[in-house]
Amino acid sequence: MKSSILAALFIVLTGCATTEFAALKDENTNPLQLKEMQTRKFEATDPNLVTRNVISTLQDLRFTIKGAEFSEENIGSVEASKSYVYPSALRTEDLSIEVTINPRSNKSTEVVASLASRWETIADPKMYQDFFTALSKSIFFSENEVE
Amino acid sequence: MIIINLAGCGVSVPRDLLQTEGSALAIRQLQTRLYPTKDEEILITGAINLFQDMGYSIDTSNKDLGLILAFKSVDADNAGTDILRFLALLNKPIWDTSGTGIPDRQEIHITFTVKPSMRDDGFLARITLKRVMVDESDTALGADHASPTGIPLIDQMQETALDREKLLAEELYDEFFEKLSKSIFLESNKI
Repeated sequence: MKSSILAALFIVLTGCATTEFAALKDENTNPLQLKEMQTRKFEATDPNLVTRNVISTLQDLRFTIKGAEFSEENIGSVEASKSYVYPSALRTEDLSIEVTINPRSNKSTEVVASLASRWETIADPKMYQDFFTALSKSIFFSENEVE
Repeated sequence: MIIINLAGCGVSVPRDLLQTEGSALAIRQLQTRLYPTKDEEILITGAINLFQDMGYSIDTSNKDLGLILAFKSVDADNAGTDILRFLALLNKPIWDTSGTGIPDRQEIHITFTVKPSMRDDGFLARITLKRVMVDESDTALGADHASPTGIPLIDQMQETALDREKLLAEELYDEFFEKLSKSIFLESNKI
């Protein structure tokens, strides 16, 4: 009996041991901190080109693009999702992302990204940092014609 | 106990999902071709015509962003799928007691984009493909059908390594862009 309890406990403890999981938004999440991690300004001045680069970035990250718009006011928006399998179970869930692109001045464009699981908004700085790093690279590739 | 384990892991998202792969630039280059034309619209129209000829349905076409989303449903019938069926069967007792829970249809989703070249010598066309396994029982049961454990049935399967290998085969892209060039030629000459 004791050994079976220990074995079961081992399964529970090792189930999540090899994968790090993102933090979800909870009641203690500061809205300003969340907004800060979701927002970046880019020196690129053409919001249309930035929107196209958001799409390219999501292609790089193997998201499925669900839709994208670009308004007459030069505001872009992109929606996409990515399936993932739990390490400990053969079932999938979707991570969704919504990105808006706003011209802020003659010198910069603001990009706001919001990540969400089926349950809650993601409030993990690392995941937003990874996205914006990928977007910066994409804009660099595009501007320097590396692609 | 296993249920607790699955539920415990299930409420969050792996942190590395947005990390760029080391090969991202090489993959992007594989999926991209330069078309020396000043006419972006002819590229978009040529691609739409080609996708329709290939049996795809156009989901979205946005000329402001040079974006086409298209998809096609086909029966799943290859080695990769067989592996998934096998694995699904092994796990069946955990979450599925009523249906098979095995995907038997696949959807190919295309994202096609066009971007102006910064050298001002044309447009860069890029295509990415994604294969999604769909369980036909979704329509009867719904993706979030309540199972004995409260865990939804398998509704979509991630790409396997085999899928990934197939979807990154160079000849796949060479063939596609060759067809696209012909479609653009036909469109520009109104044939």
